Amino acid sequence: MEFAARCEEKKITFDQTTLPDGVCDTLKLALAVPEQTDASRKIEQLGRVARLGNAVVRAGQSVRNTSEFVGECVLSVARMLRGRAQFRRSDFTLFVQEAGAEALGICMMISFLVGLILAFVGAIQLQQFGASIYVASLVGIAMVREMGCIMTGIIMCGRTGASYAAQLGTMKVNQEIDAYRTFQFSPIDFLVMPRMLALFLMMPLLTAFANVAGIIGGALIGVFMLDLSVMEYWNQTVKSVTLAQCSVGFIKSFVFGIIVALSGCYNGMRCENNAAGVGQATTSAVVAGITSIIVADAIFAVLFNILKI
Amino acid sequence: MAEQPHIELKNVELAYGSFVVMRDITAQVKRGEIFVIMGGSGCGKSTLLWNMIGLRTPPKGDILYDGRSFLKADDTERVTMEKKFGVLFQSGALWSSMTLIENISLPMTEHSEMPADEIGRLARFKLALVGLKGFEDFYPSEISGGMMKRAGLARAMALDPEILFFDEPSAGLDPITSRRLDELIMQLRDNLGTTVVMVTHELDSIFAVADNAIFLDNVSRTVTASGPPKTMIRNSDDSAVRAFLTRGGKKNLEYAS
Repeated sequence: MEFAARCEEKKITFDQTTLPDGVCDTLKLALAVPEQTDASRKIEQLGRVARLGNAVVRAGQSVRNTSEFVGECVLSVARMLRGRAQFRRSDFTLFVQEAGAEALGICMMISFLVGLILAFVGAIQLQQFGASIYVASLVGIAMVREMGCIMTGIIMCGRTGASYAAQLGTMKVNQEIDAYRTFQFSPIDFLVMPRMLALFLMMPLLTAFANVAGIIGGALIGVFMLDLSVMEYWNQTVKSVTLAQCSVGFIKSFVFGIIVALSGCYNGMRCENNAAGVGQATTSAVVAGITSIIVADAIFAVLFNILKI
Repeated sequence: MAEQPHIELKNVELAYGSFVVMRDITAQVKRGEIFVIMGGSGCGKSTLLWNMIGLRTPPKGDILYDGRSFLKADDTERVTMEKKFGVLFQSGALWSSMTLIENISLPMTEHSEMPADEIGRLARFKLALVGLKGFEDFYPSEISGGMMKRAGLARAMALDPEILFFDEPSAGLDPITSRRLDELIMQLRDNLGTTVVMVTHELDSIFAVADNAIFLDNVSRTVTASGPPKTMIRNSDDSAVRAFLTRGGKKNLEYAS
């Protein structure tokens, strides 16, 4: 083919008849449709500055897209509060079941183990000072304040956030989202809101169970390794875990629920129209979700420190 | 004054980013007409359809419905215009989490004041109309591609639209089903006066149903022929159009002479 093109360039007639029949026919096939010159992608060699510039522009765009999406969600929440939400109750109950009861087992198991690990780490250090009873405080506060909601958030991000991204992504590929638009249904109202509401309501519940499971895990170590009695451990936990500590955890869990739903739905809705796009959307939903949870937690830590809670 | 065209395209340009797919698309569609957008694969037929129903916005040109600009309309006006559309997507695009009957009732529940049992009756009727009686409680994943397409048509008709848009309705259907679909489309037009805009490259259905058509050409990236297909095949001196309509000089020659 290159040879033929070169011949054309130099205005030389290219005698194809001498070629074997098969080669000749295939060549004809390849040359039948002229190249669409402006269709082929231009691969430009860019300098470092240009590449940096592009990256900045892209980052700016993604910030704008995200805030646009969050804005639409806020408007949609406003519509929902005014009682003009358009979604099906059966969808919502299904999401509640998926994000609630079905996730309970895994959340409790992970938290139980986290409580166990915390108690182990604390026990070895505190035993040296003969302060092993404080393992109860350590586990209680750490679970209720931080680990309970973070672990739940991360589990839900990997479980439900990923599934939301995949669901919405597949719907996008299948043009279902376009179909909602053509019937004047806002996809945000219809698809994002029930998911977000379900997670918003279920996360604190899951966190509560996770907290209890973690404390039980810690107590197991306390009772069997440190020879504390169950009553002792329980009293110490109740003494150190105040209502303020609990509410810190719960406030965070509401926020994490929204973060997980947002990152899952946002990435699903922006999915590219092919199978690889769905995979990519799922990946970025989980990565963005977990990152935002940790970042949000750090912000909360600073905030609560300033407020002295 | 001549009759107001139902849909009017004025110098519409289609582009993906900086890559212009089609330029200067101008056409008029009369009320109650079956209008076919044809052209080779990947020439922007479906893109044009998406622009017409507001899923994309063309960078240039204007689209008018009943003489009113669709692109410049404010939100409320646009919604009233869009409520008159019914769209059948290429693969049906049924909502996969709902059964067929729910798919069809949902637009009615949201956009009309009818009581629930009335909606159920109507939805079952629309489903029967496309030959899917008895499949009310099936999920889209449980039925075949052709059935999904027909169910999609039933959903597109749910709100009795004035304009039906079809994106390749007969692609992937067997000849008999696709023939039935053509007949259904013509009946809809005859009985309800629906205007139909159809993207297709099935020659048989083009000749069977089209009152009017435009041909989008891949190479020159614009409309190279328009008019009823039967006169198009006779009068057009564009070789691409003739080759397309005769399937490379092998078919439909009876219309050409």
